[in-house]
Amino acid sequence: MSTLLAITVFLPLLGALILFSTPGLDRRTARQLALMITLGTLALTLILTLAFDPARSGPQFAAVDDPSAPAPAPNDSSHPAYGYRWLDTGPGSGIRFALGLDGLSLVLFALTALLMVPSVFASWNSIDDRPALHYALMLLLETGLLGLFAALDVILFYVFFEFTLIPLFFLIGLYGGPERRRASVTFFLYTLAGSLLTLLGVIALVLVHQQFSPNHTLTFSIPELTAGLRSLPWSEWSAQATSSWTSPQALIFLLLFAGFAIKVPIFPFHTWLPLAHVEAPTAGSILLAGVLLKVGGYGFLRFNLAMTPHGAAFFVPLLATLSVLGILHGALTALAQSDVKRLVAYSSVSHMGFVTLGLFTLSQVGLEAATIQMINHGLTTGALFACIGILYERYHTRDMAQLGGLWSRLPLFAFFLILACLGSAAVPGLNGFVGEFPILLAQFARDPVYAILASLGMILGAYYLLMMIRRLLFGPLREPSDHSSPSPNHTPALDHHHHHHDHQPTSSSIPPLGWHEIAGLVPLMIGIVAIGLFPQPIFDRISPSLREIATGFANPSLSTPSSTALTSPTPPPALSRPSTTTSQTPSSITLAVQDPRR
Amino acid sequence: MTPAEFLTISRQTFLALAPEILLLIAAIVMMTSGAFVRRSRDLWAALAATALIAAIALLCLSPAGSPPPYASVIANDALAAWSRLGLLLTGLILIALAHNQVDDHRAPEFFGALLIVFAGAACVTAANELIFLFVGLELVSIPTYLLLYLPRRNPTTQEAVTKYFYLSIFSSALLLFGLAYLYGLTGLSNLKALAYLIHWNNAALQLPQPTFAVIALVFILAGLGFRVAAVPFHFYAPDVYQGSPTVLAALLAWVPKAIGFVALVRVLAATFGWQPVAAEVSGLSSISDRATLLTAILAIATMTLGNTVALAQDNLKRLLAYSSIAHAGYLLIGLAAAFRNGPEASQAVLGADGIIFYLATYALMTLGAFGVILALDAPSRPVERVDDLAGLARTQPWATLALTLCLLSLAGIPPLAGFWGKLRIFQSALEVARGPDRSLFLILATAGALNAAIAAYYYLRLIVLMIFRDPITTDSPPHHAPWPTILAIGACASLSLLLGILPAPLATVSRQAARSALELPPPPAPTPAQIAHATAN
Repeated sequence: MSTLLAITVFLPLLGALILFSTPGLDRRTARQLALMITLGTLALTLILTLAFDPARSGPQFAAVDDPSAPAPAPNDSSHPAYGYRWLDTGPGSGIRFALGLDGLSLVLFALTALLMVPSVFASWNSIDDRPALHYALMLLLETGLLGLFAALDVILFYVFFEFTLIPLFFLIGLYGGPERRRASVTFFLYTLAGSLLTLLGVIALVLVHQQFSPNHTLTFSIPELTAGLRSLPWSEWSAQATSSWTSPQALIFLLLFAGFAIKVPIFPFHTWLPLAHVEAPTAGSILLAGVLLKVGGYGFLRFNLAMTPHGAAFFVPLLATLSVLGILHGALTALAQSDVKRLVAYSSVSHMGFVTLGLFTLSQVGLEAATIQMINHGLTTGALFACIGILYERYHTRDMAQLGGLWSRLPLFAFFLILACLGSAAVPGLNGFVGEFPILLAQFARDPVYAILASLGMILGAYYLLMMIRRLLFGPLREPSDHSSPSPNHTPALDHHHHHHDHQPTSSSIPPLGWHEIAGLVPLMIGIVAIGLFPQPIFDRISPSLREIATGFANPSLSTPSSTALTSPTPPPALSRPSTTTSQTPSSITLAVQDPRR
Repeated sequence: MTPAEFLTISRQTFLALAPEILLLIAAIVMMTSGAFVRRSRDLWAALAATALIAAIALLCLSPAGSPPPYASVIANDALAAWSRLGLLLTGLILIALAHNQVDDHRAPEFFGALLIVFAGAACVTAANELIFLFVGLELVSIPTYLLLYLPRRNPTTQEAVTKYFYLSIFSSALLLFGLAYLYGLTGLSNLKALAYLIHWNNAALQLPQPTFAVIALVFILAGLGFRVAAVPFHFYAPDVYQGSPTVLAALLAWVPKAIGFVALVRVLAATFGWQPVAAEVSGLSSISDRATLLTAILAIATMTLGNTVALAQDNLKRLLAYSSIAHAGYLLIGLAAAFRNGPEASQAVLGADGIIFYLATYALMTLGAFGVILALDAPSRPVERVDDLAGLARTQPWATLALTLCLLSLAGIPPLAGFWGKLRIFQSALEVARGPDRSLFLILATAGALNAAIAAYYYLRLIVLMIFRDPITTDSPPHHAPWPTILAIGACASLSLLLGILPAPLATVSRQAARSALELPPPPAPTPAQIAHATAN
């Protein structure tokens, strides 16, 4: 199976290389090849998902260098040397090319493979200029993202993490909107600045582990580091530090935090996001919102929470505050937008605020809900961006002031848009509810004030999404006329990549949804409904890996004077789900949250 | 030393130096015959390339045995072997780039001088003796003046060359002053013996003037800081790069930097490098502390100044000049870490290891970037300013690809070679960030990381111009570079990518080289005759 995983990761790269070497390929062939590759990758991912054993917590499908070594027992803390030696670093296992999936990475891996399909469909007719290059960049991005989630080595993770910047930079810069150059450079530099600090944090963790672990092993393996770092006497070192800010974990936490906070993005670091989202081509927006923001959340879970729990516990009040600020800021700014793409971009800031709020409850329930919420956000925002792409291809405007009553023109589109909006607004029965509600519950148990403020953001979210539906779909039919003066934000004349722009849409020229548009949206819609009704399979898969992370916070050594002084006055109840309970519906979460308080 | 031993050592030394001697002979023959024979520049370039290939073959065939380290002027160790190989290979790249950049009647002098530069550079990396090191450095400098004067085109060029000439002489004087103090400290000019005395015999020997060490440190750092273009000795670089032909700017951006850092490793890091965990040695720890602090300050100043000023540049060669200053800053981080690696250092990545790895990747990406600029520069469409690159992707897709790879590698983006260089430099700094040095090295590594982000901006700016912008200049027929140029650029760009995907061989090489530079083998026991001689005195 380890070979299959490697094939899955590198199949898109193969497709990208074929497309790169044939730059003159026409649009039809290029898109068909890209579709075949993405569908093939998705099929392989499905095989991996079905073969995945949810009961085990360690990484699966990983190649082990020494085949005679026994496979690790479930919950065994010792890990073999995964993968193959990549760069020798003297004694120890060195930097390894190691791929493997645990429950957490599996769901995000699958999300990536799934979202690639709507991205290809979204570019189906809209890319005329150098189509082979466009699809090659997309497939390159897919390899980067799949590899990132599957990496079991910190340096390999970082290589894939940075590598994703290159295709996305060119995707935005070559195929984006009128401000594409500024957007791509801003995006690249912001992310790079943060991730270089993250690199330092990662190296620092590796070296601290080497210096203080009993065997002085120099390892770059993520499972080994996570297990090894946990046994080090961090609380003693924190006690020696002159202030909690300079305790070793706090420093390393901040270094790691820099890259992931920009990626998520957490409130004051979000300014690159609206620009990049709005200027990116539809496929870029879907992948950016759907997967790339999740990389930040994934990094928080894998590094910040799993490897520096003391640092996380120390910064929780600050981070929860920033998350709530992000939720409210994103929601309020989204309210003020008339450009729908901009609106969805700001709603991403708000929804990702929920994700980080869930993560920084530092409880099992919060972590699980945040992970589900990452998937939800990927599906709903991906669907919303795909819908906006459909709209823009037909009208060349995304201004709500110029559009209205589209229900009668595009009924199927209206259905998809409404479903995606309801899912995003966390209506019970759809996916958003399964994520946001437990986040609020877990946060309520930690500190009610944050939960109340965050729920305000939820209400605002429902408000701006419904308002968007009302303005776009209901009322009298309103379409941009021939001589409408477009606002400077989206002058189609500058946008020479869209071949439609020279003829203004007339009422008869608006085609109904094509098969490719429907095919792109249907899987997302199925996901939105399925997760809303039956999230259990996902919970089953992510729980074991997240339980391992959450146990780091149940550790009594966490309640050092430094960390309790700054958390809430009442110590947070341990939010661990009773392990005997296997059913995971929202009501059982409620019980679990209230349980310790009795 | 008996006459027989002396003869053996001399023979070994000459054998080990055979590649350099061959290069010098070839250069002298070329320069002399150039006065009598009129041939095209292609022939002279081919001759020079043949001489370099022969030298590389000699280097590979020469016996690995090294003359005794405490008695010989050269150290034929892994550092010498690999750096000479690397330098001679980049010599081939430079000759390929230069083959059509010089007039026919100046070609013999030009290529002859180029060969002498590389012979000198190879001598520096093998030097185990203060005097020999200085000779090697001058063997690089003097032909460089000649190279810069040969194509003197206009007053600006002349001004740049004159500036370089006087500053280079000044820096040589500073270096010589520093080397003299190093000699005065111990009475020795053999580098291994010097390092051995300072490390293991310090307490017993009671060096008469420990302050000499500080003076030596400051002046050597200043003298070599000029060669590597470190702040505050950098100010000649932008003017000289801009004023000189592109191929010479490439030469100046690479050779002096490489030999400067190898010399810094050989003279300073291997001598004053000291590990805080080792047994307390009087005097040395304070010198090592000062060296670390001084280098750290220089590193931060160099990186920050190079990168921030590069942001504002519109001339391509000036931009690359500031970029090369900034890279000297990253390399100085490695040097600061190297001052914390003693001869028995246990770190997985040593400072010197990071420096050597980084230098190898730096050669590829810098020579590649200069090479593309040189290949694109045609009389019909000069490439001088940043804006001249606009829309290049439409007319010259392959050149764009090569330059993009080199620039991304310079910015340190994985999976390109430049990333591993930065990773190893940062890792070497964080490896020694413990104890009292913790905050210093943390600040140093953080400054390096932030600077890498700043630097990405101006590299990206070029990529954006080339790929995202439409051409400004009028359509001129695409100009095709000759095959040696294309081969050289292609080698640089593809190796930048290949070493990024498979960095392991280079890492092995750089670790071997760094270890061999720090190694202090036990000195041979004195023979009874020597003891008798000593007691008789």
